[in-house]
Amino acid sequence: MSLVDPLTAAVAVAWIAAGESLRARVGFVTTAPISTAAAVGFVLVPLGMGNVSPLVGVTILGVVSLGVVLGMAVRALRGLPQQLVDLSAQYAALLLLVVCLYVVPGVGTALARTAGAQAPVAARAATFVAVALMTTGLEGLGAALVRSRRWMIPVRPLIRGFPGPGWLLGMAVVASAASIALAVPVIGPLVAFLFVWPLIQALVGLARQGTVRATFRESVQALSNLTEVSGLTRRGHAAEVAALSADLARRLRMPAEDVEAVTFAGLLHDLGQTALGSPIPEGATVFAAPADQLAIADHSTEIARRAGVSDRVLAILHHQAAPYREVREFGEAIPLGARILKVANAYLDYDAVAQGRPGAALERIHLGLGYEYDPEVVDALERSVSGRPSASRGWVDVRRG
Amino acid sequence: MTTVPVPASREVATWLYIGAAVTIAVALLVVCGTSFGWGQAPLAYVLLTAMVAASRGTELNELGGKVNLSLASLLPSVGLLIQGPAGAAILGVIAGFLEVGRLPWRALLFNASMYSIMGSASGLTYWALNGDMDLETVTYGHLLVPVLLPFFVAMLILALINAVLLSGIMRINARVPFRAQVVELVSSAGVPYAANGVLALLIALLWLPVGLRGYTTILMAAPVFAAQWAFTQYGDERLAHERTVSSLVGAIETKAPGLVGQADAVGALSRALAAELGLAPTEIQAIGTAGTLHDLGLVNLPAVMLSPDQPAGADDLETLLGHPSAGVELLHGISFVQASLDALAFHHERFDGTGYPDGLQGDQIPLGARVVAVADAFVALRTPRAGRPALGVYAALDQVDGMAGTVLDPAVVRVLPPAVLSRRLWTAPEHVLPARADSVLAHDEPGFRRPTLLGTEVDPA
Repeated sequence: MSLVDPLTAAVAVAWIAAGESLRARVGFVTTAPISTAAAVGFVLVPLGMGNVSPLVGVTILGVVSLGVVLGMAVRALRGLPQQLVDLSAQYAALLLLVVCLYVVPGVGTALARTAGAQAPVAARAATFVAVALMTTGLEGLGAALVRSRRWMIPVRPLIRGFPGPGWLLGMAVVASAASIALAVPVIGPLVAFLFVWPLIQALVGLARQGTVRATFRESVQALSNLTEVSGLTRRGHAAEVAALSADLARRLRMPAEDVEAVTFAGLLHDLGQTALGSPIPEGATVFAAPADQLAIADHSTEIARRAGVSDRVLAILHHQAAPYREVREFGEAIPLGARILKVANAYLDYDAVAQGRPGAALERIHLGLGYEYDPEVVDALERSVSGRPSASRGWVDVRRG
Repeated sequence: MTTVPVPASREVATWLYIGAAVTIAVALLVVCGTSFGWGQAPLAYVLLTAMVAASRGTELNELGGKVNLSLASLLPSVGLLIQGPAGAAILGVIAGFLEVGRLPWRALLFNASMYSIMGSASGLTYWALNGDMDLETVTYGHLLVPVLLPFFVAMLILALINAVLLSGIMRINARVPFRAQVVELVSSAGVPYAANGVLALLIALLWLPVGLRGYTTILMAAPVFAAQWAFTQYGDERLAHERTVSSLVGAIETKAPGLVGQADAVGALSRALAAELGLAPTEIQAIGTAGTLHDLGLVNLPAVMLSPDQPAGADDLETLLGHPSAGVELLHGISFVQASLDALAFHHERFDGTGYPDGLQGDQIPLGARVVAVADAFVALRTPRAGRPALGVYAALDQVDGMAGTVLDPAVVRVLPPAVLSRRLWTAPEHVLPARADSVLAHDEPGFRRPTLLGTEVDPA
């Protein structure tokens, strides 16, 4: 009996290599679901046949490594980045799996009791699922730990924030690996490795999700340009407001989703000016009558709603004109994002008028402190502008911060 | 000119069609059940249904009809391999009724019959091609010829029957051209069907040869959900496009309330004209989008000019010349509308070369622009103006017909009556305050004073 069936090994190498070249980004990591499923499934096959020995382990490791190296070569040829952190996490998890199952004495033989050919098929499936689950879990944990150290953020929120489709993909990888391990002895490797198929479908879905997001960003950008192209607002104003708002939101330690929401709201905040009977000079809403400001906010919200922006963004747009005293005196629930947008917009409007006189805009803001503007946000504004020579222009390119 | 179809007769025809489908489905089910048995494991029906029902499908609104991009076809396909032809038919019925509560009863009945026919017909195909009816003992070397090849052909039959039956009911009920619809279905749903076929094969292989039986539904739950999630992304993409277009229309309608409804009317008619011309689905889509967004560039104009009671002065006419290219500029950053930009840029060109902005002539004008121009003219004539009520449907059709060859492309004008009448696309927006015939809002009117390249006025044609 040969150590490892050569055909199975060849098919495994092919799928691992193909899978590595199809890495996809999910949340904060890149993952190669097809490669992981093929590799784990392949590692489990000898265990399922009771063929456990260090020599088998070394052979398997060689086959898996060959697949990974070939995959890296394909990526290099296609000019794709290697994603070494995630690849190492994946490889380390596989290495650990092989060593535990085949080299550490006792583990493999013990598991073979529930995973071997004589065990009930449901028990074998359960064993394979458990082992595959641990392997993919280790891979994910490893990738998360590296990110956590590098970005200096705790692991737990990082993992909790991992997107739902990512978890689903992980479960599908586990199921594919277990299915491959079960099926290879029965229907042969050529057909058995087709169990990576649902993963291919999921990858196509991920790519499509990317296009959907891109379309959304493009349409927000186009809407944002609308008032500028028609000359209602200054060129670049929306982008400046978005950038300054995002900066203030970050300084006020808002979570990433809120920073994104404030950015989108900044891009869309003047959209409602299209509805005005007569345009405001320079499109500077801060000089507009309060009733007009409220009308602009309402129209902006309505148009943005049709673009499918999130409720978070809509709430900011809706409250962008509300003076701060409404929070103070009437206890109105005005989202922080809206207070930020109001301050950022007013500052940039004043600053555009007071060109060349640094500090003039801040003075005007101070006149409305606590009445129009949230003091906490104005604090952040002062810190934000203090480092910049003249804030009149030059915000345009810091959009994504 | 075609006559307006009587809706009642269409209802009768629809019911007759559904009745025929039900009869065929029942007959096939009985034939399959008596000759091949009703399936070995009753529990399999329950488990498979539960697995697929837990991840119910998403729908795409395609040309006038619904294309179900879901896992529904997975059920008869799995059934055929593990329960035989009758099992496939029964799971087909179940697949049809998975949409209970989301679709009207008539549609459920039709879908159940359709999926059932798909199941039994593909099951019979598999049997006729000597497909292995007892997968339990299948091994390594006995997979390709006895199982995979017959199953592949059976899946082709399944998809084909689906496309034909669905196109049939849409022809009868919604007057969607049959052949175009079959092509559209095969091209848009072909890949998902192939994907479901592979998934079905995998489930069946785990169920029988590997011997997992009912446990398969647990093991395969995550992969099936992942596949389902991938399908929903198709729907989300379409939704994202619709929302983008809708928000842009919202921007122009907020600025010019006198234009409310006009964009959607021109868009729908442009799409119908493109379909009548037999264009490819992607072109139809692009031209429809161009029709909806054709006047987006008007947001560039001062709000005063877009008021219904403001006559357009000579200067305004010159400003008006720029609105097609302004629309193009607004849209240039959005990838999915790129195919529509040509049609948008030249929708005010005239067939005889006297239009704007470039004075293109005949075939020099992009086809999409010629289509949008016809739709635009018809909708304008059907819109009431100050001093003249909306033209009747036939009067408007006649007047558009009179412009063929001078203002409009005769080839497009020729398909206007069938496009309008068969789809009942003759309703036009109504406004509280009809626009003056010489206001910018009425610039789509064929009799509108034409701004020319030189900015001088030309008398109405």
